[in-house]
Amino acid sequence: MSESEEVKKTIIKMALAETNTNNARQLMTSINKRCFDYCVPTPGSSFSDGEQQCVKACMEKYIKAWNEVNAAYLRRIQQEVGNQGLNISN
Amino acid sequence: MSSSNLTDADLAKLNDKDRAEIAQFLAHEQQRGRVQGQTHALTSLCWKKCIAPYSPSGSSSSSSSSTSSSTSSGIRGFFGGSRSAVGNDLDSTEKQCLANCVDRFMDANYATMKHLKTLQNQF
Repeated sequence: MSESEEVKKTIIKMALAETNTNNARQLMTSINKRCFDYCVPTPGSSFSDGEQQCVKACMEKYIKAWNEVNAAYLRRIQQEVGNQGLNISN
Repeated sequence: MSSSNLTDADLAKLNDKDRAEIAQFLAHEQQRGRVQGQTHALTSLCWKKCIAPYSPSGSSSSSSSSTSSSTSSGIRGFFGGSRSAVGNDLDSTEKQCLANCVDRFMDANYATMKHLKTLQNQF
């Protein structure tokens, strides 16, 4: 592999890692907020078994919801690109 | 160069073809990051509307306690009044709601921007 290619691959790896870390961080922030709201509506004196189970299930459900929303958003973006002229001009 | 610390000397080794490829890749990555960021915002918003359609604090205390007492009054103490029966799967109604939520958010977004234009001419 040429030196140039080696540097390129390093840069690409760094950029990918940054996007992915950023995405994971945002996801965890949202999950913490939404699942706390969802599972601990009235904080008690301890973190109950029910609340712990709820948080685990909520986390898995939230990730599934993220994937659904992402798919719907991408579908919409593609549609918009398809009839861009129509939407922006009027 | 096994570490990910790049120096100016490393960058100088890049030829034009690889520079162009990097620029294209970074533009694509930026776009991916923006879409992911918007997905995060939309998921948070639509989660509240479709999966947990109640506000957990303040004024909602009456409505949330009425729902939990009707479903699980007997074990409320054990679960501390929380939502205990949370599945980890989305049902088809929730999926449909999430998809509609995204589409209607975008519609509302366009309507706002369109109306902004008419307001700009007015004031």
